[in-house]
Amino acid sequence: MVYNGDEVSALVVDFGSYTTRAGYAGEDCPRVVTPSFYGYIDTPEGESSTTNGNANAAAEGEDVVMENGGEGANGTSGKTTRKYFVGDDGVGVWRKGMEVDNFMQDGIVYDAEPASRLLNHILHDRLGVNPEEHPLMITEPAWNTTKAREQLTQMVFEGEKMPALYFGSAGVLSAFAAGKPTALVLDVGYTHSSVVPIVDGYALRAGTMRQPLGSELLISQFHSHFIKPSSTRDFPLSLASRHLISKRDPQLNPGTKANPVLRDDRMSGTTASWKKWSENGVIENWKEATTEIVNYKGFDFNTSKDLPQVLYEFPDGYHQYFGEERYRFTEMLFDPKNYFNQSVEPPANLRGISNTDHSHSLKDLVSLSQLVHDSIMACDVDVRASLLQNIVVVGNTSLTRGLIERLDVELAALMPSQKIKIHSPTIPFERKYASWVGGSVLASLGTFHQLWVTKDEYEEHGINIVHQRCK
Amino acid sequence: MSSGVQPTQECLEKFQELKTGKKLSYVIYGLTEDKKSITVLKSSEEKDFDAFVNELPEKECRWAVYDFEFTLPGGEGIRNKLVFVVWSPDDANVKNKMMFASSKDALRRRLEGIHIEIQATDFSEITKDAILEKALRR
Repeated sequence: MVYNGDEVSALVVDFGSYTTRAGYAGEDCPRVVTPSFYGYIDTPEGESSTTNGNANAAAEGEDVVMENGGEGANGTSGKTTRKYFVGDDGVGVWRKGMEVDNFMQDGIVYDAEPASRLLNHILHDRLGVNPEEHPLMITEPAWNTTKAREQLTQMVFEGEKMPALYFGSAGVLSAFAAGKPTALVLDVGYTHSSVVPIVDGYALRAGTMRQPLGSELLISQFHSHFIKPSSTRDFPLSLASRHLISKRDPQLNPGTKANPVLRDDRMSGTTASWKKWSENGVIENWKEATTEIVNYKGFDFNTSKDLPQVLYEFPDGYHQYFGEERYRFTEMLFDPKNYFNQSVEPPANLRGISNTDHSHSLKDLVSLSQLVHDSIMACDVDVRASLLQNIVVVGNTSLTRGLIERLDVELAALMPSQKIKIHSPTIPFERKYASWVGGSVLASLGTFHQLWVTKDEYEEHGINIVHQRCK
Repeated sequence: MSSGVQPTQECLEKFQELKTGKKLSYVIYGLTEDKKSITVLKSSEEKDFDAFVNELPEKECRWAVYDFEFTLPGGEGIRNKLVFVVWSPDDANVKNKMMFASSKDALRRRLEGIHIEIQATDFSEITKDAILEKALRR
């Protein structure tokens, strides 16, 4: 805000696979970080939506509850009314019979209806603004589809009646935020890892690569590991989240089975999708707190038992000194051939990415370093050296301890004659929300005015003006 | 994608002077107070490379053009090449880095006759050797 005399009071929304970030342009970090997951309850037509009684009576009265959705997505069983629950009080609150889904797929806003509900919730309930007064910048991946763009544009101009819009390329914004017009951006996120080469502020389509190797796949591997007994644990873990526990098991020794008192009243009304979502959340917390990556290749996890241990306690009271498990699974990021267990059913949404010149499917995952290498090799010879000296690593999963160091080692081994330099924002939120932060600065500039697509222009020229201007 | 910030006429004139006049040794560019255009912060006839590097602030971004003079190996004579420097130190704040990164292209593409481009984040990346290596490669 210090930077420009004429305040444009723009907003920035960054739709991510795990969370959606939103806030005022010009600020240092997003005001709102909220799940991209949403809850829904379908009720057959005619049946008035049942009040769910007990604990959620309060939640039912929230503004997020809207009752005209449905859009006949699965119109086979006659007419149903779909009630959406978005934002922090959406999936994060237990509701009887509530299913959970995510409107993002492959990094793209895939399901417009719940996404528009979330946008509405963010603008009206969280930021408390009148959308008609604020231009909006939306970040998009380099591989965004025309369809997704059109749906978002309609959402912004026709749904929220916002005055102006711009689509900022997430990779370019992350590179800019790191101070680099030219950079290779490696984004290790929830559903996938991607590499986007940026030269003089433009993403190169040729070298853009992605694959479904990220937190979600890691979590699914952890899930299967935790719900079965292991060599150091002769019972499965419950992975129950705090929503389902009325009293955790307190005075336990490390490593013994926990017997918490569960909420019996919630057992029958919990859907499989909500249960999976909450269990994944429990694992995600464990993963963020404990996992690390060893700093060289070919570590033998079978013989070495002397890896540093950390104590971690699950919500149900189970606690243990975790050692080898903290390292073995994350090895998948650098050695998917040996550490990605294909016999564990991968999450359904990750199967959508197929093998092309720009993507690897689940069956053909490559290490992060190989992905960087392949992207570089797909770029013009002239730009390779400057890209290699300006590798910018972003994304929440890139915060896994040891990842940057390991990437450095692996890249040096892969391209020994090249000068390689990894730059990574040192402040965690700048790494987690890199594209939001970049968008925030750009959208706050008075000089950026000329690039906004205004509502009037959209009404006159249609969607083409958006494609023309947002490159 | 770019910020929309444009260079002033002076930026281009100073560059022409450096390129054709053979007097100036370097020009350092930055943003104006109101952050709406690119301006000349300093130009100098000082040929010493270290003196030039010393002009780059530790916590703020800059662009610069430096007239790099070097001797060809095997006694083939002295050559000059223009180097465009993107100075974006790690310690600069995000807004500053973002402003400079997103405005660079507006300046760079108006300057014709640049042979070498260096994107540096610390002083170890902007040395005579690094530039010489690039100068000899082409």
